[in-house]
Amino acid sequence: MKRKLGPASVFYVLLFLILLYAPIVMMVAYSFNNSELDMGWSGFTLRWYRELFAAEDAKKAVINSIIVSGCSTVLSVILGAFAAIGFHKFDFKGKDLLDSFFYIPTIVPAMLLGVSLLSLFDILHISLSKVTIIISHVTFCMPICFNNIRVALNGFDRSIEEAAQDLGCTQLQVITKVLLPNLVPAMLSGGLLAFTFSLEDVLTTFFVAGPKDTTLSMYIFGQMKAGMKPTINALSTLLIVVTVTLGIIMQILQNRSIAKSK
Amino acid sequence: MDKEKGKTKRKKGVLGNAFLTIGPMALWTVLFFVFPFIYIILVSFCSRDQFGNIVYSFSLDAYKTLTKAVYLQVIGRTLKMAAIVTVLVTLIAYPYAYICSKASKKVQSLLIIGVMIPFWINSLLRIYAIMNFTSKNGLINNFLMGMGIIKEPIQILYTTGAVYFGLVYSLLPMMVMPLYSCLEKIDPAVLEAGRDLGCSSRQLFLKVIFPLSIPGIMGGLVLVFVPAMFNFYIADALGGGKTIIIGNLISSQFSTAKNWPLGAALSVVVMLISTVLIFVKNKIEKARTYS
Amino acid sequence: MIRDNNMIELIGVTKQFGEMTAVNHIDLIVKEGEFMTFLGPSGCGKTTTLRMIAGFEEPSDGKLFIDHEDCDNVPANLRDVNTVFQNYALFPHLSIRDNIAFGLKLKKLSKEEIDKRVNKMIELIKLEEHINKKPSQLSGGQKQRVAIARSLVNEPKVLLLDEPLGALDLKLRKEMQIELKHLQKELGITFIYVTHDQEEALTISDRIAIMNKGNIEQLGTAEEIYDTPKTKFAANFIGETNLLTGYIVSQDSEKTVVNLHNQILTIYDADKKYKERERICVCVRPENMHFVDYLPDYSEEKYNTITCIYEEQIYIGNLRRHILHTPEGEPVKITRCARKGEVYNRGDYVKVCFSKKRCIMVKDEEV
Repeated sequence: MKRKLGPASVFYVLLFLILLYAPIVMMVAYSFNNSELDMGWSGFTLRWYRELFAAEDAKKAVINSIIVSGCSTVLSVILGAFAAIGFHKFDFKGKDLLDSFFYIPTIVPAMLLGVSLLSLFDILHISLSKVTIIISHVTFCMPICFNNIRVALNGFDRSIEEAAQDLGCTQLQVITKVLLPNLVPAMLSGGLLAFTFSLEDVLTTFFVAGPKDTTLSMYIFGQMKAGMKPTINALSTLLIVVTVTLGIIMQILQNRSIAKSK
Repeated sequence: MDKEKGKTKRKKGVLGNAFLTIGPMALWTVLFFVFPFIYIILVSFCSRDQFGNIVYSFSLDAYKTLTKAVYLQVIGRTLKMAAIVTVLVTLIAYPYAYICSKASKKVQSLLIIGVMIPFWINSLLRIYAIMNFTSKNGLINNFLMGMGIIKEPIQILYTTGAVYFGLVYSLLPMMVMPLYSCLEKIDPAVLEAGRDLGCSSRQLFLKVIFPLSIPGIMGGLVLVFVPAMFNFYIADALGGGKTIIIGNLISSQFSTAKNWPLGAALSVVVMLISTVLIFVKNKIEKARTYS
Repeated sequence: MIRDNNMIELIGVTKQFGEMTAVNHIDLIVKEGEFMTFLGPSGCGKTTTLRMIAGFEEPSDGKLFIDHEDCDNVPANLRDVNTVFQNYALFPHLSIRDNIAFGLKLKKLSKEEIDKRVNKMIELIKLEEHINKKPSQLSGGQKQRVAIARSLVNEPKVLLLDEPLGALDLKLRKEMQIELKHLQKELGITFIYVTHDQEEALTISDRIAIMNKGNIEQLGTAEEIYDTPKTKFAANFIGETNLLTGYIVSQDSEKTVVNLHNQILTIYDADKKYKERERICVCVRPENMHFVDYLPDYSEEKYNTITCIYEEQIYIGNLRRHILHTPEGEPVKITRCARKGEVYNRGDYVKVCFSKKRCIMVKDEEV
């Protein structure tokens, strides 16, 4: 059944991909365009990148984002890995229920999470800061890591753990000497996924960010509302390079952990 | 007797360890997910004073306000928009996912990565790219003028059309992925059996392939419809603030308008809509999964 | 106190999973240096028994001793036994060398000692050029060798093998059977081997425990089990056999008289005592069944004779298998040397016979 695609299929696929990529390619190209926006192509320049690097608020947003997404990722991986290993090791009543409960934050619209957390922080008199952003991000990133690590654990042959025990490992050593080393790819790919989700979030962050804690996404959103600026093109291009690189690493890690478990 | 004791002891140890490992995540989820949601439901049944402070006494004011024509209009418009976007996304994504599933393994992975890469890129950036793309001097206007279809650049950005375009554009991968993974799983032998029993290509698609791909469509449906209702920054950035959807409305109640009970009530309404949608999706998926 | 050489002792060991009884009150002694095989169909409790000895399952009832030590509440990691798993269960993140050294490192042996023992093991399993590879780079047979080496390097008192050759192809399997047998004799370690393959069991074991529905049906050497199965299940499970149902007419100290659909047979087997009219099966191995027409020294004194209806013959190289059935519809198989040219047609009434001494009786029961 798998044969060469017909010309109509090829045409459709090409059109689809061109439309998908044209806006992005154009944005990248315009970041090197030596003209204020909306004026067509007028030569190559790195001017916007220089301006971007000089902009204090952009720099601050980058630092904020690294702090927020970094902390959220680390916390999410740790909490998610702990829970995933607990799920793998122990049986108890209501396990399935708890399992589906853990996934709910990923399907609930990000914006609802934002407004409800805002209300919670308000009633608890917690002032909005980087901490509140991190709390919010961990809430929806943790299930992503949990899921990633659980999938890896499900594919993991239980007799390998028994073999470790048989050869003299205590329960704790089974985890540290056998499970964890084999979970590294899943934790990394889960972490990267969490990092990208955290980095790109606007809908939740919008509500829970303190006035001084503008993340990168919030910064871009603010600039976008004001209209188009070539420096934003430059910033976008840099971000695209970063996320695509992270994405490719993530894909490779995932493939590797799948190949390993087979 | 002794043995019994040993056993209960061991069981306690297991429960303790289970709590140590799973407890932190469970506590976190309860504290920062369950509590806030319960609280927001409570807030929706409160009212507010003239300074925007919440008055903690039972009231249906917020829900009564919702039945005003203005709000009903916004809800109606949002649902209509999300529905149209979902249909458009499905129509555009289906052929792509179908062609992917038919291609050789190598081409398949290339085509899928082709959809995945834009998905990795921050959705804000993609919207920003669309702003560029649809602006007066953007690629679309240049293309249309180059083809001689229009003489003057037309206004695309800051219209409802641009909002639709942005929503469809950014939600496409959400439909391609579940559809593809569903179509790809169809056993080629089933298609050959269909052929063997006398199906034409058209019949094969309508009677075999399409019914088998319904779980994929349902999976994509939720991933497209729900974000389409909320994504206020697409409406803001591409619609120029002229297109108001539920997302904008909620966001403004919690920020500028300072009417939290109303925002909470709106949230509860969309939460219900999303829940119903997910419920229906799960029902159909369950009924349609044949493995 | 003089110690016997019992390595493993199971006394009334029972394992229940909820309502289901997987192992039902088993008593068993495995001697030091013995190659013992648990043989039975899937679900017979053989793997569960093995896992209880390894310490992965706790007996619901009964006592388990390894080298005279009570194993109650001793976890798997503290038992001086090692297991070879069916799917190898090698650690995917470690090299072959590190896999083999895993147990020794946990025991905190000196580096020199570990190196010495690991190298000796690697030499023994002939995988010298693969020591730095990861398990995923090895073939099935090589992985199995590593799994065995990883266990044996710890010099356990008992090696437990759970269908270790199940994933290998037939030819490799046969080679490995011989290799395992030699390895066991060389090292003198007690082996407990689980398999559902009767031929494998007959080939490698000193003694076989045939298990069914959580019970040990019979325990004995390969010859004992093949020649004198004690139950219908054992007769059926090991090798091919003809089972002819009938009932006891009378029994004295040396022979038993049996009614087989109104044919009276005499059987020189009086080991087991039966009641009159008790239903039994007469089992005769296909190679002990003869055609009267082609048996030169046939006499009614020595042989029991029955009439069968001929169906067909199947040629299998060195042997020819003749398929017949009794008038009552019970199948009868006869295997003869292929070059003997017995010829019958479908539907022929054929007299077949078997020596009164080369048959035994088992109770007729649901299997």
